[in-house]
Amino acid sequence: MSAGGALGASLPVGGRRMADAVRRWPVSMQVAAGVLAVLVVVALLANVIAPLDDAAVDLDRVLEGPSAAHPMGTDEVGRDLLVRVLHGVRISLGIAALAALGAVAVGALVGVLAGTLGGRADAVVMRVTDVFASQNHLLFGILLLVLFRPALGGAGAVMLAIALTHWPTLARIVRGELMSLRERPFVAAAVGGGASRRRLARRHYVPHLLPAVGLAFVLTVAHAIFHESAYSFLGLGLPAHQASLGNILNDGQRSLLAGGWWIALFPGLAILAAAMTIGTIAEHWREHLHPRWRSELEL
Amino acid sequence: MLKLIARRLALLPLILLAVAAITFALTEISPFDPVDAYVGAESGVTPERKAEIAHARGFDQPLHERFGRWVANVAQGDLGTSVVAGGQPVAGEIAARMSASIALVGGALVLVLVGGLVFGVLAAALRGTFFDWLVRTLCYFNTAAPSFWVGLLALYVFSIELGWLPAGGTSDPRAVESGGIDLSHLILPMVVLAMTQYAWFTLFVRNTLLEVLREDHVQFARAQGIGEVAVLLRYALPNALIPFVTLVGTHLSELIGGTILVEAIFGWPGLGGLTLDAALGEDIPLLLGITLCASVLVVLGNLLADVLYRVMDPRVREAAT
Amino acid sequence: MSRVGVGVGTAIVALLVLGALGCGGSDEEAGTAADGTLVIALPSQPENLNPIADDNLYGGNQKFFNGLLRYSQDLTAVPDLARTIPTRSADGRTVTVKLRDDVKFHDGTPLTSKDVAFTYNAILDPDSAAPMATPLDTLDKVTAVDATTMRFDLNRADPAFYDKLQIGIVPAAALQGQDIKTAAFNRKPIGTGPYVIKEFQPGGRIVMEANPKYFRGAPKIKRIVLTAVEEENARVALLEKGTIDAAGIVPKLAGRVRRNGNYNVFEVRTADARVAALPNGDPVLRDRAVRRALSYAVDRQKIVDGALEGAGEPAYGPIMKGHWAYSPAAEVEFDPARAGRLLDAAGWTRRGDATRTKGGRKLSFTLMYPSNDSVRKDIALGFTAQMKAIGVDVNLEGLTFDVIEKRQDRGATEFGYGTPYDPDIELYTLFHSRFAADEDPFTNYTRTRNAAIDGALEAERSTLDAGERKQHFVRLQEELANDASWLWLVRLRHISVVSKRVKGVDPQVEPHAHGFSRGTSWNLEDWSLDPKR
Repeated sequence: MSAGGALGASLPVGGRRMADAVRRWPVSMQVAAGVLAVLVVVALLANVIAPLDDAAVDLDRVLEGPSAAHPMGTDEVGRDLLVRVLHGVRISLGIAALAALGAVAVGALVGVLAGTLGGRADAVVMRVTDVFASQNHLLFGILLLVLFRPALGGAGAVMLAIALTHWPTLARIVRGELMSLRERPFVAAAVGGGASRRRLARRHYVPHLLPAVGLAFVLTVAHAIFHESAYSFLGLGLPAHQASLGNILNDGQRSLLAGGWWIALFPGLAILAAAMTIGTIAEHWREHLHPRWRSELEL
Repeated sequence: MLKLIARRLALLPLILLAVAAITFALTEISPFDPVDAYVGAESGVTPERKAEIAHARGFDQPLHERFGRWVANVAQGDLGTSVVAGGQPVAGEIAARMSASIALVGGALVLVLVGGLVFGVLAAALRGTFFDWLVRTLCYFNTAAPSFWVGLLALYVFSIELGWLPAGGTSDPRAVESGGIDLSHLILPMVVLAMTQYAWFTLFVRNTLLEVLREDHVQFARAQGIGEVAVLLRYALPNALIPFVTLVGTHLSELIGGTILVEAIFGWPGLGGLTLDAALGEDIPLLLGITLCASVLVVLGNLLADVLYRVMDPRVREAAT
Repeated sequence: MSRVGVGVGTAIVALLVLGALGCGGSDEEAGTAADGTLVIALPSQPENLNPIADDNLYGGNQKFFNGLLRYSQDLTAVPDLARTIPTRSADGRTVTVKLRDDVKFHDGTPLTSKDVAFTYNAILDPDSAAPMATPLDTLDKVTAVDATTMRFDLNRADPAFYDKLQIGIVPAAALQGQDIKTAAFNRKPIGTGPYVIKEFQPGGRIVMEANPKYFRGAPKIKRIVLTAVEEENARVALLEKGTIDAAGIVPKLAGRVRRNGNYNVFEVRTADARVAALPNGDPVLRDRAVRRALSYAVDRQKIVDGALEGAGEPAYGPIMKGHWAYSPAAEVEFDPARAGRLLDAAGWTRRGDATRTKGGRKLSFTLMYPSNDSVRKDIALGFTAQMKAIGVDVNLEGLTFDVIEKRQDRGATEFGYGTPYDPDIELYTLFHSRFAADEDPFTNYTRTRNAAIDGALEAERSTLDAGERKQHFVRLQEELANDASWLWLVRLRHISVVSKRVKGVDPQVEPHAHGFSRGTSWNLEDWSLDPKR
């Protein structure tokens, strides 16, 4: 029996159905989901596994290579790198998730506005969206960071920068979905049956919007991880002593020639793992979604 | 065609105005103090003196007057003066550092286009084999790996440890002639920058080719006994090339943004490094100037892509005449 | 047709690339110029070469300029553009300087007293917002008595005034009527100095050529290139390849360069110290007993060894060991047990390893540091760990200075201070109570109001007698140690690497400020290249 089968056999009915679904995923998807699950668990439990102390400095153990005591080595002030990378995953994933939520919130709002108002207002809103969308993410984000970091702090400014650079994509998706939904036969049927706007929104629009928005959210998280680490790497993001993956990479840059290659390698691997797993899952999800939509169109 | 170009160029000032308005508004909302930026953080200037400076420079005028004045200045090419550039004009600073970035982005673009085509075609031709899997996996890896991490590792391996390539800068500092960019210095940053985008192009070519290969006219060609290579290159590829060109339009902006990280690592004196200096020095006039210039480049890039698309696609050309 | 399209597109891009490539100098040609060219890598490109815009008195970019006086290797003031050491009036309020008459600017025009007057007036002019206006606040008026005589009228007898005569002199004709902040001069300076600017490539390199008419004799090295290399590892890699001849590097990489064998590695002492300024208004730090106890808990040598790789020394006060005004009053042994006892006596007790408390309040304070400085971050981390060991909870915040400014009363800040020159210029504004109430974080950050400290400061600046001044400085250091508002941690040493083919290098003690013309390269114009290497 495969691992999935063994797992499935030991679970109650609902769990067994889920395990069956998982077993039907392609291998790459299973691997990606597994790795991502590990990362998310690490992120959620990091404080329990090994509480972070930015000041757990040990100036006698500066720049030690990977060993039994320190599986990822120590950094330039003697802190254990494994603990910092674990918390880096937590901090970076956390900020990325919140930032992506912000992008979804703004984007959904704008998209709903444009989609429901229609006509002139829609055109104006979409032109504004286009202007924002034309801006390069990093460049515009850096401008926002410089302007707002004094007021919002490193983490807050990073979340704002990511949210304000990524919302246009979500606005377009929401607007597009909304407009195509309004043309669907089942919506006409609901309206003909006397559904109020609120009922329409709650029972028909939202359930159909959620998958697309959810997928976009997940993809934005992958982007956000990269952006947060890039900003911190440049020295414009989180305060330098905090354990963001970008900050650790910045430290690693300085320690490269002194022989501390592990400080540059491991946080990069963590970012890579997070981005690759999320990307793989999103890819499969996108392919999976389309067949369903096709059947809707035939209604 | 000319009408298209004219129309797009006419829109350009409007787009810039919108970008300017948005960035100006953001500067207003933020707690940023232009007087502090002007006198410098550590200068010990008294509050009365700061008020005098604010009045002399017009910082205390109402918002619309300041915006109007700023737009008028920009229209005449005056983007203000830069704090991090010793008070020199922003426009001059950007102009001085632009050629280095153009070389970098241009070189990376060539690599991306050529590499994307070559590897995309090969992957499609050898679909299902190990080579195809390798190309696809490397592409996924590339889109997920942070560019600055790859750049750091590349610098470490190729320049510092192996010593094959120079460790940054545009040329040997000892060189008697000024300016100029040595090809050997360009290689590493160009390749790293190209690696941020080439995956999109490679996968696009591969996937489009595979789709086209399923179409009727290709099956027909095969049925006529035309070899697989010829089918690929003469029947499938031309159809894939047309949308390929439009990819440049959308990804040019990404390449420009990518220079910020690549130039930081390789000490490349282009606009990306200037952006970082401006950010660390909290030099808002310089950042605004770079944002506007980048917007111009993006619009022009998109326009170029659309023009090329129309030039290349016979159906569109026929329809236009 | 589509292939044509692709061809056209590729051709356009290729043309762009070739156009930007220009004619770069090849490496083979560089070889012939190598003998007369010295290449120095700096961590960042100097933004403004105008001495009026400098933020310190000691000539950051002074190889293009000269001041009236300058410092020799052992930091004695000697004449530069002045013919002799200046003379003071009996009451010390008038300083007269006689200029040399044989000095010309790079553009051939002669240096006269008009240029000196212009330079000082430009600094004092409120419109230029020059940082050096602050130390020049003792200067009332500068007069060009005749073509070669200057008179400085001071509003008090300023014993530190000779330090203020080191400012680079600019030609009045070149800057008359211009906006100092935006003049093109800032990147194309014209001075009297041993080197003339040949080229300023924004973001790239600065090329200087020897001034053949330099009044002390043309420099032996004919061409110097300053190239900005921000990336630490790249700087070392360039050294190892021989692409550059000299650079400052971080201590961690010194071992690697030493093993290379082609370089002299200088560990240059500096006055540059890192200090935690403890605000007197903080509810926890207002207790002097607490502040005094903290000093015993800092293992300064360990911070030097761990965070600075040994390139430093413990610091106990604002004046460095070896300085004529130094007093060992503040030196303490690392004794955490004693720190603990002092804190217990002050009422801050702890249970086991927990943070100390007193009346329900935790012994905790915030320490802010400038976020983009990795050395300060590492020192702050080491400090925080050592405080934790005695039950003091330090909450670290990495911020930019404009934020730190607004939080002056809400936490301690890690500053960098230290001058090997006359202490009055830096210490008066740092410690005197008249700056306690202002909003400038760089003057009396801790808002200390201590009559004994004030008294010592007033005394040292109202006498011109060196012996008396030393006594007052000794007293100042004792009072500062008593007050303990400033917790001095370590003094840095800068690692300078210079190729062995360069002769004449004899580093001078460095201050805190930036620039490429002090410390190791103070006598750049006296260096020469050994043709055999």
